[in-house]
Amino acid sequence: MDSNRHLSPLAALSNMILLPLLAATLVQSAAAQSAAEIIEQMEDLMRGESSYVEMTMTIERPRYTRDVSMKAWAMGEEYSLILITAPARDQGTTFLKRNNEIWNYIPNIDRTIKMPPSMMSQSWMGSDFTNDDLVRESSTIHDYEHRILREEELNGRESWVLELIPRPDTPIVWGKVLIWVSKENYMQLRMEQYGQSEELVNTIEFDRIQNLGSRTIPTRMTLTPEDRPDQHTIMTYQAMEFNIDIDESFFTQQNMRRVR
Amino acid sequence: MYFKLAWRNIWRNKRRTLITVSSIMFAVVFALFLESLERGVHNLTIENMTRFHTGYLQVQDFRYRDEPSLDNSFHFHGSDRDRISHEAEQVEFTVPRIETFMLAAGEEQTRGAMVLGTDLDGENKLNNLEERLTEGRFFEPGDGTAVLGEGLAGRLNLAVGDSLVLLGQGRFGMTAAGKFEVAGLIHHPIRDMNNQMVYISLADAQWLLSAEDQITSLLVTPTHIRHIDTVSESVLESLDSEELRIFSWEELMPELIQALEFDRASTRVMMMILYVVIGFGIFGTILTMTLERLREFGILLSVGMQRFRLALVLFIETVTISILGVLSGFLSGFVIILYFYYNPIHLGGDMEEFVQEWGIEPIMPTALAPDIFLWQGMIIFLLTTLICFYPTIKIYTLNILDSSRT
Amino acid sequence: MKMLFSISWRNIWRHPARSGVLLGAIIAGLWAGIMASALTNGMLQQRFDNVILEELTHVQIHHPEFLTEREPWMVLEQTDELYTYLEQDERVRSYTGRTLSGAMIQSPLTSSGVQARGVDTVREQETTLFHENVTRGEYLDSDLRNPILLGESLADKLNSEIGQRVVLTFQDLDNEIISGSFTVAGLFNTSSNPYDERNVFVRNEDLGSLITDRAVIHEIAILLHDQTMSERVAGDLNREFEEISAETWYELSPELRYMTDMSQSMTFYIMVIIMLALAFGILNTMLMAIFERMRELGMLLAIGMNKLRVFTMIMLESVILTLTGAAAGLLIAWLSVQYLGTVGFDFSGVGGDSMAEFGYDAIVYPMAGREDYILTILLVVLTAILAAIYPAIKALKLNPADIVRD
Repeated sequence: MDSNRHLSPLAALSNMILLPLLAATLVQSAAAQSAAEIIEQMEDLMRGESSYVEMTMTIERPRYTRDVSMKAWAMGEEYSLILITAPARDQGTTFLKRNNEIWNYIPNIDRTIKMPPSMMSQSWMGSDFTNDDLVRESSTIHDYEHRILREEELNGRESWVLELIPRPDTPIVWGKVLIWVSKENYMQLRMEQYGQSEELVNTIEFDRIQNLGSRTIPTRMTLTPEDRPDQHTIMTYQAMEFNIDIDESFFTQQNMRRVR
Repeated sequence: MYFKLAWRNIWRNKRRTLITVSSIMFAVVFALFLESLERGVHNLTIENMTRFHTGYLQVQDFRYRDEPSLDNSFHFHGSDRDRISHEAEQVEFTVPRIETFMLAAGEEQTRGAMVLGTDLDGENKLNNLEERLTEGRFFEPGDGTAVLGEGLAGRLNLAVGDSLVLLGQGRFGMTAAGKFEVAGLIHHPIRDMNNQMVYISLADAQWLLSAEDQITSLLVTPTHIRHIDTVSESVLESLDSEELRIFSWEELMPELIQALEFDRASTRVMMMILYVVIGFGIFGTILTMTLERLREFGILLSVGMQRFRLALVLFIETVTISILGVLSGFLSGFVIILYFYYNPIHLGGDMEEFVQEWGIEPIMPTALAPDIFLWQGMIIFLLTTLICFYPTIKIYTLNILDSSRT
Repeated sequence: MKMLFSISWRNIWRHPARSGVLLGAIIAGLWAGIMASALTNGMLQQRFDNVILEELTHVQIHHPEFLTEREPWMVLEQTDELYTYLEQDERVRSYTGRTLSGAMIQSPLTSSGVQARGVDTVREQETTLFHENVTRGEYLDSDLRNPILLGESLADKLNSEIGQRVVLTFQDLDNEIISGSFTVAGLFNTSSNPYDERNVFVRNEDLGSLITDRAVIHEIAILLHDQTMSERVAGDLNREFEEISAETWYELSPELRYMTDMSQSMTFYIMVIIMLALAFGILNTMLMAIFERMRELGMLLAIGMNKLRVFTMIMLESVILTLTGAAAGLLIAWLSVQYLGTVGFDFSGVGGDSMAEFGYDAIVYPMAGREDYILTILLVVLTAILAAIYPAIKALKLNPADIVRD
């Protein structure tokens, strides 16, 4: 579950942030070129130098459902800050990521704690994400070999189906990943993550395409593990702004207590 | 009639009878003592290991074993506990526990910790937890204080009176965060536990983890290890939930079983060697006795006693002697086992010190169990009866002339 | 004297059955005594192999705080000096360095916290028997890039198969998080399921290159020729080097020590019981044999034979019988030990099969050292002779006339 960083709020934020990609150096063949270009276009759509987002994470389990609402600010790949706004019990809790470190501020005990490495495999806020997912950086372009598998229609949109195979020395657990990218607007519509015996492990659907932050993007992602069809993690974006006015001094431990 | 004859024979030569009876008696005593000691040590080892870790029996939600998460805890109210102690048979006491992995933080340092919310009285009965206290005091239910392992306290730089922060995830993904005053420190002989354990009261833990009236496991101690099956059934019956399972220490600590199985098998081999030794002892006595009496048999046969009758008398005689031997063996065996039950063998030397540090009595007790008497008595009796066929056969093959000449 | 000797000799042969019984009792006793010791040795050795040789070894060296803090930077700085020292220490049989790191292992299906053990493939195999636990695939000396061994139960949980990829995430020496992918080379199965789920094996150079840029060693495991030297070797290491902590296996694993000590004491008492049973068996047979001869002895006394000479004669007979029996018993015992020492004694025949289920080796190879033989011979011979003295003395005190009349 922990490798769903494509879905994790912070990784999602990272995806939105402009990362100077040297796409030209990656180009090896005509097919790879166009696959790489598609991915680049797709990632461009969600990128900005900095961003602000309001979202709700819904964790559906057989025995309960839980909504966590949050606001998040991000700058580059290095900095991000998440403020939990609901449920009431967790309101005011903040997470700060600075490079590889995560800090956690809990208002009811008024304490800031640095997440030790031993806790990295623990679940983040009860979700399918681990703390590690919040800090891990990976690049769809660098870490995978990619090619266009086929073209097909998905949810009424013409799209490419790209196959991504992780490079041998990259720390990626998937055997392969398939992504559907709409030809119009380069939106990611679906992702399938496969294990190493070609078995489907997770399906991620991207839908509710809307205008947010002056871009047309999918505003809902739903992850369903293949072996637990009654279990979902859903991320819904309510508001999004790109290239906001923010600097490094925002991402400090002092600000963790103040931010609202 | 035959019995009367045999009985008179037995008392005619008291010395001979005495030697034979005593050889059987010693055999019984040794066999009894060996098994009783083995059983006693075996039970003590299980008791000590279960006290340290899992308890004899644990009730859990059926999902907990594969996925030990707070989501798979179960509802358990104080009244459930009372009901078990009233209804369930042979239950000595129960300990409700809620445990989970959390972050423990001092002023500067943060470490992973095993947080155990528990009932102090129960823990004391189970493993004398309070005696491990090296500083401070123990918590009262719901007073918001914690007791932690010395190792962990050292790592977090915490002393009695400081405040400890616990942070993690509660039931159903709720955030769990709380500040606890350090009430006391304990020393745990197992290094990992000393470095990891945080004890808080059950009530505090349930509040912290948003798990009101929930526990992850209920440890059940039966009045005696042999009642495990009865207790399992009656506890489950009394809790009456489809979703609960009860696990025995054997299922909870399979690696302990292997070590114990090895001991048991080796004892069984030793037992067989013991049987060979005592078998030869008894055989030697009975054979010599037979040889001694060949002359007598020869005379009886030559004056016209039927071989069958003589053999029968002799058989009754030896069986009676066996019974006498086994019974006297029981009696002296019981006295000896009882003595060692109340005055168990002490493990000498540095081992005694080492074991005491664990809070374990450095002893090797004997076990008082009726089945040991039954089985060992039966085995020795059968062994003796088998040996007693020798004189009977001898009578059938006896050459009258030869025997009366010797 | 010579005459007495020849009378004794003739007496022995005049009563082949009686002498046979005594001989048999002594032979059986000696055989049983030696077999019991040999099996005990074999079983202790077996237990030792199962626990010490698997991974623990006799002595381990760490950074003084490593076992408490487990921080990746707590490495052994003077490995070269330590290796040179160990190379020269004649008590050391073999040693191996290990890189240890807490890690998170991920497969497409799930992730789990584990302890990654980076081993030196050559030295590790020379020092421990862990490689024998590999049930499928191959050990780490394969050509795969970053090979890793998983416990069968962990592989099950991760749904990983041989040849597939898993990702390990560590903390490097600067406390940064670092990940690497590994290929499953093989699966192992030890007797402990929790161990299998929590430990993975990789090559130390692979692990070292991930967490830093040089080979780092957190643990040196040392196997000795003689385990009783453990404490001294550890003490010497601690004196010789600073900034290290050398500990013996029983400091490292007090639980193991408890179990081992308990079964060792247990075995000791079992031996005592068997030896007692043996002594009583011989005593009873001797008593019976002597009492049977009272008449004959009385006759000898009545015809004017010197009491001392009669006593000497009886004792001579006993000594001759005992020594003959001891010699024969020794031969049989020696042959049995030699035979079983090569083919092994299968415990599964006596209920040890449940051990085999867990991957515990159920075959024990009995072995007896010189001291085992000497001790048992002494015990048997002394018992036999002491057992002869009492009735012999008793015979002399009786009135010859009474005995003959009886």
